[in-house]
Amino acid sequence: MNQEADEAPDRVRGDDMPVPATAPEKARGELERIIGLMGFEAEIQVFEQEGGNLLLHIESPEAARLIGKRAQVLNALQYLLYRILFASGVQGIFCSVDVERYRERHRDRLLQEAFSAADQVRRTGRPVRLRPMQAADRRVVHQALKDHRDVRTDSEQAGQLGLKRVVIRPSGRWD
Amino acid sequence: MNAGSGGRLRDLIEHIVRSLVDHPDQVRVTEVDGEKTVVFELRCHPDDIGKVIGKNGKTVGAIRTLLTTAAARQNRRAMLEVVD
Repeated sequence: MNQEADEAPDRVRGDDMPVPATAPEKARGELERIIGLMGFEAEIQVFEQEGGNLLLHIESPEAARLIGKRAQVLNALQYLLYRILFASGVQGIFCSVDVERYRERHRDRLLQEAFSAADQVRRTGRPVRLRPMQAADRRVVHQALKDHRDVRTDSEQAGQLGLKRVVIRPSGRWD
Repeated sequence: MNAGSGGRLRDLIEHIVRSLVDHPDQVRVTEVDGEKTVVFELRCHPDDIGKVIGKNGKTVGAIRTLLTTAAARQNRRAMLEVVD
């Protein structure tokens, strides 16, 4: 702990401080190292985002493997990168890891599902149950329909894999 | 370390774990080769075990995911056990 503080003076950051110049390089270096040790070829680009957070974008001929089922591999990379950076003194910076814009495309697809289901609820006046989803995905749906006041969203147990599903119902309000 | 010796997979585990713990010099990974599956046994300083496993096993779960993915690329199966 002590030696960490000595070699990493930038670890104590206020909200108003800029991202230390080393953070993006450090993040990219760590991610490159891990993916290299996994035996994959990858091209990594780092984008600085609002609030000093980073987006690390991976291009690879083996993108599908690096994403994994339900983004399992992608999420493992993102989580371990965060933990490793934290341990090395880069703190308070969230690094989002993406492969071939998977997260962006996935989010677009969720929004499309949410909006078209909401339309169906409006047309028919009947509840619509979406397919079972991960918590993070359900959150995207709830958020997307938060301002649609004529429908309301709940989660219910879907009965398989412990995953829940979002149910969209008419709210009875049309204002 | 050539392919087949499990060297790279072990390097992967060692690198990640050493980057996370307070006592990187005490991280030891040994491999037990089975017929189809290679099993890695991870030992570390007692104070670091919680860090390596993580809340609800989240950290070791993420390491296992990367290990399995790297092994699958070589058409192999790999397992990781944390020994205390």
